[in-house]
Formats: sequence, structure tokens, C-alpha cells
Amino acid sequence: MEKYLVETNNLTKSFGKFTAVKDINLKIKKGVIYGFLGPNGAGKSTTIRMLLGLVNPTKGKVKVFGKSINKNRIDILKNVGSIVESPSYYGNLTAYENLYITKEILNVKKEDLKKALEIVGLSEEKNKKVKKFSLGMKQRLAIAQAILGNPELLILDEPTNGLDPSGIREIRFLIKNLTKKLGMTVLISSHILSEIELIASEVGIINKGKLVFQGTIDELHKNSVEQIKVNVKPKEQALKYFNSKGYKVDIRNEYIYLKNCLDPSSITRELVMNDLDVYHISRYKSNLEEMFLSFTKKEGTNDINTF
Amino acid sequence: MILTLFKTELIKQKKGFIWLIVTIIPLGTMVAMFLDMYLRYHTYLYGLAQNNKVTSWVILLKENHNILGWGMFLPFFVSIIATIIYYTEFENNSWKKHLSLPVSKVEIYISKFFVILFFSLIMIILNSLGLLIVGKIIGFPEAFDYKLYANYILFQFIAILGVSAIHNFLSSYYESAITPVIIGFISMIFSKIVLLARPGIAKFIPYTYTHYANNLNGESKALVVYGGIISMAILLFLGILSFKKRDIL
Ligand SMILES: Nc1ncnc2c1ncn2[C@@H]1O[C@H](COP(=O)(O)OP(=O)(O)OP(=O)(O)O)[C@@H](O)[C@H]1O
Ligand SMILES: [Mg+2]
Repeated sequence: MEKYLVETNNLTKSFGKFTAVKDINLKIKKGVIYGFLGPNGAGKSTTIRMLLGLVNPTKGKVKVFGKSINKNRIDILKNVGSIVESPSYYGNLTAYENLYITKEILNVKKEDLKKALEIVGLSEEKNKKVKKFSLGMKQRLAIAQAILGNPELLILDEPTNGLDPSGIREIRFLIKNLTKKLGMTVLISSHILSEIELIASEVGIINKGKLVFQGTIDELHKNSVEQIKVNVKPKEQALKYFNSKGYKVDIRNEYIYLKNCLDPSSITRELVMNDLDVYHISRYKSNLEEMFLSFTKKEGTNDINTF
Repeated sequence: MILTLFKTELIKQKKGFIWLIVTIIPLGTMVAMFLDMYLRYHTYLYGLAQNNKVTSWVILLKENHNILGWGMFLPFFVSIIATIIYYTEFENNSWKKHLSLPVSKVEIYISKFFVILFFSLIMIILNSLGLLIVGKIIGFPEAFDYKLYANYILFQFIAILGVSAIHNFLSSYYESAITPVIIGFISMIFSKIVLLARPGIAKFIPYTYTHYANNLNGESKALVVYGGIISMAILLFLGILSFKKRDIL
């Protein structure tokens, strides 16, 4: 038995000179909901396309169910349901007809089709032309199509994109249920951490084509470094002092955040002895959202040294 | 699997624009041929048939094929059909979904080819059916020549095999629906010129084969059959190689 359901090895894709995905090593265990996070243009969709064999990697390997997508594409895809980017459908056909096409190709029973419609709550609208659907309904149809063959693995590329909060909640609920009831493994991509946090147990963060973090949500929390948050006046002088001591600083509003210094009491003493007034000092741990931002921020803008 | 895919292709075209195209074009040729016969049959064409010792049905077929230019335009009509079939995927952004399903790309490519042939055949049959109706309305004295028209349909079908393979590729390659149609139109004109100026070279241009499909004697027959089938085999094969390697973005 393979350890990972999905595993990539130095997966890389270049478009001409531009490298959209660089040496990615994804590792997705069976039964988890894996959140694949990254800002716009990070390379999520390109990676997902390679996982599905839609796009040939420039370099590296993709293994799904322990098999190479290169050699076993059809075998693998029999057990994978997917949405890639915006939902695609034949607009002049009804929801039922759209699913019927997929059903025929997957060679599953009509009952499975009905069940999929029920799960996503589209049974009532099944005879409506899809071009008349709202975006939320289209997304649900796309999910119905993805789960139609009862796949072991679901790959969903931003399935909540463009939905309102209640729509997002609905889909989140749906996906959670799928893993619980049907035991599916899910890879879900998003550019919103808070959304992934509520659903995924493991995350991979991708930025500019590189995987900058991979692990459980707990590990991500641990990764958040403790900082010391101070409000000291005069600010200019304080910054000069921190700089001379080699502290890494980050300034937000009136606060200065010290990164590589973990002792508030000694810092307070040092500041006071240097004739600086301390108005506030506390330990501070960044929240996930801030960490996500710091993972995905452009290099060089993290440490601000303003003199 | 190809059969299943073929069935799903027909579902996709259900109530689609393509049905309008494959009925309206033959309807147009029927009307045109009716006018032609109405104006010229009793005064001129019937006499022509008598002099040449052929039936009115033969004359009607030649009018359709050469004077109206069906033989010349057919490849262009095929290019329109091919474009519509592929545009269905581009328009709905559904290539990625289609190819994320467990089907081989080769089978998808071939099933599309069959769908193009299917709709082209319908159009060809309807054109001949239109001629039958015209002949009956005008009141040809001879009995309908089933064999002649069955052969006519068959040879037109073989003649478009190569062109269908070309447009199967072009329409899959160009996301813009208009590009392959323009290529089809230019190739049609170009082939006609080559056919008139350099008939020797024209033998190697699949767009010219339909021109010969009316003249069902030995040499033209062989050209249509060998040309159509060989060009299809080569071009379909090359198209498959390219389609297999293509990234679906
Ligand atoms: N066909 C292509 N040709 C050239 N560059 C491309 C192509 N497809 C994608 N890219 C580039 O690759 C990078 C990654 O794109 P990708 O669609 O994978 O990002 P993403 O993480 O899915 O973004 P989003 O959140 O906006 O969906 C982008 O900079 C994009 O411009
Ligand atoms: Mg994307």
C-alpha cells in the first residue's frame, strides 16, 4: 500500500521562459482534506492540470494511487472526480443532460446520477438549461459531475470562487460530508486561508510556483513565530537602537514587532536604560492569515528598516 | 467507447445550430435547382439530355454538381460543420472537463471525426433528396435513377474523408471558430484554380476530390477513392499525434 494517494516529484511546468510551477513535491495522504493554498497566479491550477494529465509537466513526476499519470491516465481518472478552474458545462443542455453525458462516459448507473443530483440539491432544477443557472447552481452541478463516479479522490479547483458567504458555507458543508460519508480524499484549492482552515486538515501553500509550506494545520500554527510587540517613544530612536542590536523589526501602525528576540523583561530594561519610554509591551503570535501573507509576500518587503 | 462518445457528441448537438446548417444548405440548393429547372428544363435542358442520350436525372445531377457548384463548395461546408462540432467544446470551456474523464484522447479525436462525417453525410443525402424532389415536381419523364444517386452520395462521402481529417485537426487546433472556416474557404478557391491550371498537381489536394464525385467513370472514381481514403489515413494519423501531445489549458 502506497503511503500517499497523490505524490509529485519535483513537478515543474514552464511556459516559454516563464516557470509557473517549480519543483513541487505534494504529498497527500488517503482520507484527508488537503487545502492547496496560494494567491492568484501562484500555480494552483497549473499543478492541478498536471495531476489530471491535462498538461504535460516540463519536468518531474505525478503519481496518483501509486501509479504514474503518464502511463495510467485512464485507469487513474476512473477514480478521480474533478473541477478545474471555472465550472464547465454545455449551456444549451439541461443539468440532467450534462450529467448524462458524464454518466455515459463513466458507465455508471442512472441511480448514481439521481443520487449526485440529490446530494448537491439540484433535483428540482434538473430539467432547466444550465445557461440559465446561477453561478452557485453551476458550481453545484460541477460538484455533482465530479462525484458522479463515486471517485476515491476529488480534486476541486476553487469550487467556491465567486459564491456568496452562504453559498460558500453550503459547499464547505457538502465537501465535509463527502469525505465523512463516502470516505473520499479531497484536494481543494483556494486563495483564502480562512476558508481552507475550516475544512482542511492538511495544507500546502504555493507561492510563485514554489511550495513554501506543507503540513497539518497544527504544524502551520506552530510555524508561527512568537514576536514581541512594543510601543516605544520616540520611535525613530527606538528603531535605531533595535537596528544596532541586530533585531529584525516589522512596523505596523504605532507598534514595532521584534522577531528574533524572546524576552520582554530584558528588552524593557534595555529600552528604559536607553531613555526610551515604553507604552506597551507584549508577546505576540501571528495568526494564520498573517502567516499566509508572510509566506506569500514578495521577498524584501517583510523586514522594513526605515531610517 | 468510441460509440459511447459518438452518442454523447450527438447529445451535445441536440437542438444545436448544426442541425440548422445541415438542413438549410441542402434546402438552399434545392430551391436553386428548382429555379434552374423551372426556367431551363423544358426550353433547353430536356433537349440536351435527349441529344446526349442521357436521362434528365443525369442532367440534374450535373447541374447541381458543376453549374451550381456543389462539388466545389462541399469541402467548405464540411469545414463549417467541423468548426461547429469543436466550437461546442471551446465555447463552453469544456475541454478540460471532457479530458479529465477516463477516456483516451485518441478516441475523443476519432469520435469527433466520425461526428463530422455523420453530419456531412446527412447534408450530402439531403442535397440528393432535394434533387429527387425537384425532378418529381418538374415531372421528369424518366424513372428516378436510384443507382446513380446512391453512387453519387457514396462517392461524395469518400471524397470528403481527407478534407474532414484536415478540418478535424484545424478545428481542434484553433480556438477561434472563424480561422478554420476561412482556411476552408481559401482552400476551396485555391483548389479550384489549381484544378483548372494544373490538374496534375490537383490530384494531391484533398479539397479537389469532391469535384470528381459527379463523373463516375473509371479514372475519376479511382482518384476519389484512393485520394479520399489515403489522405484521410495520413491526415488523421498526423492529427492524432498532435492532439495527443497537446496541453489542455
Ligand atoms: N497557457 C499559459 N501560458 C503562459 N502562462 C500561463 C499559462 N497558463 C498559466 N500561465 C501562468 O502561470 C501562472 C500560474 O497560473 P495558474 O492558473 O496555475 O495560477 P492559479 O494559482 O491557479 O491562480 P488563480 O488563483 O488566479 O486561479 C500565472 O502567472 C499564469 O499567468
Ligand atoms: Mg486557478
